[in-house]
Amino acid sequence: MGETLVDDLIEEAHARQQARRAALAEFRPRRALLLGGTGLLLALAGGGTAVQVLSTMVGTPVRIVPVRSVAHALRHAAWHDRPVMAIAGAFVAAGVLLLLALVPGRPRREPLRGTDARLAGGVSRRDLRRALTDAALEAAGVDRARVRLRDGFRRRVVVRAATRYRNPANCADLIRQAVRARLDEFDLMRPRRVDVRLSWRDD
Amino acid sequence: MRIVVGLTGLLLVGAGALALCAGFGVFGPGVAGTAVLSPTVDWYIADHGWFWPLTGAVAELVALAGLVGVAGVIRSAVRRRRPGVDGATRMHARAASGDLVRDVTRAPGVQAVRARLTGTAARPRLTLSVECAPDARPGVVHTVLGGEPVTRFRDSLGMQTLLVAVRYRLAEASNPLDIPSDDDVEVALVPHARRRVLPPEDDGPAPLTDGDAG
Repeated sequence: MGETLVDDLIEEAHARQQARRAALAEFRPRRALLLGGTGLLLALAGGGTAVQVLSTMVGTPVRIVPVRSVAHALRHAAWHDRPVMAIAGAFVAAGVLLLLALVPGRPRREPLRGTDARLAGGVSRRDLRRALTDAALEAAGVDRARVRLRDGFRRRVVVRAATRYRNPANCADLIRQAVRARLDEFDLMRPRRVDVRLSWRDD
Repeated sequence: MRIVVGLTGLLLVGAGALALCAGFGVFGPGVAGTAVLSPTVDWYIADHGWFWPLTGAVAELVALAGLVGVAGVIRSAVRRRRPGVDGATRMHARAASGDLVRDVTRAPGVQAVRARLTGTAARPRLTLSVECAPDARPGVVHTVLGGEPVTRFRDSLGMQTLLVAVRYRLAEASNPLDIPSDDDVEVALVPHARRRVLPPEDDGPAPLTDGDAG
């Protein structure tokens, strides 16, 4: 009996983990344009070089790049020359950008909790912000509210609200409760804290 | 493709960093002042007959890797949008998606559902767009959807590995103070069969008659 329960718990945790992985993989940015563009550049550069080198070797050179003038310029340019340093810096910057593009980006949608590893559901950040803003505005005394979703190590919902009252009393708590309740209805896969920053009349 | 891009990035960073180090004199002041294409390099190339064939081969490999990568990216993008399964499976999917849409539409707060089968037979994919009311609970809808409807859809197609991607959209809440337009009122109140037929624009709007009131 006890073993079965432990097995069930382990299986459920495993299923949740699989579902989380599937959902994050589904909604991560594809960066297809960058990957495709890099591949196309590599194909053009590699193909051009190969055609020029091999055609020169067989005795019928195809001039894609003016090799003589480039070689002449490189023979008269030193490593500490500004253009050489600038090109080296551009190489480093392009390489760093390419490596950064491989870091998994922020999901385009906020994934919802699930236990099916082949089912990924997500709601757009815009819709989520709008729903949370509506929830904040329903709290008593709130005139304006603006919601932002902060990512990073501490994922949180930041609500900036304004009340017309001079004494806000527990208005911040009411907003927090309303937003928390609406957030729970989404059942997000990655939990978020709710931070409320309230401003009120002081005239 | 990610491996190719990663290797390209590393190569660019390495080459650029070495060139910058040479320029800033890390390898000695003598190196910083030497030409980028020094006579030593010319002699090295002239002394080794394999240099240009090897360069050509490496360039071919780079071009091939780039082409394979581009083809992979395009194929992946197309597979995510268009079905790559046979016609019979698509017909089955169309029939089964009716039940799926009906089941999901019954969930609280769901206004409309669209289903589209994409991917290949080996990696099928179902994209669902679920339009919800502004006050709907997507968590509840997702739980309902993940239960019986999706399982039944997979069973009916015989695709247990079917990946289902659901995109929830929340409709915008209408402002209760907004004054509805005449067209909205007509759509809401007048039966379809009795709606007025709009005349051509040059004749001006037709006056409403008692018959139009339904």
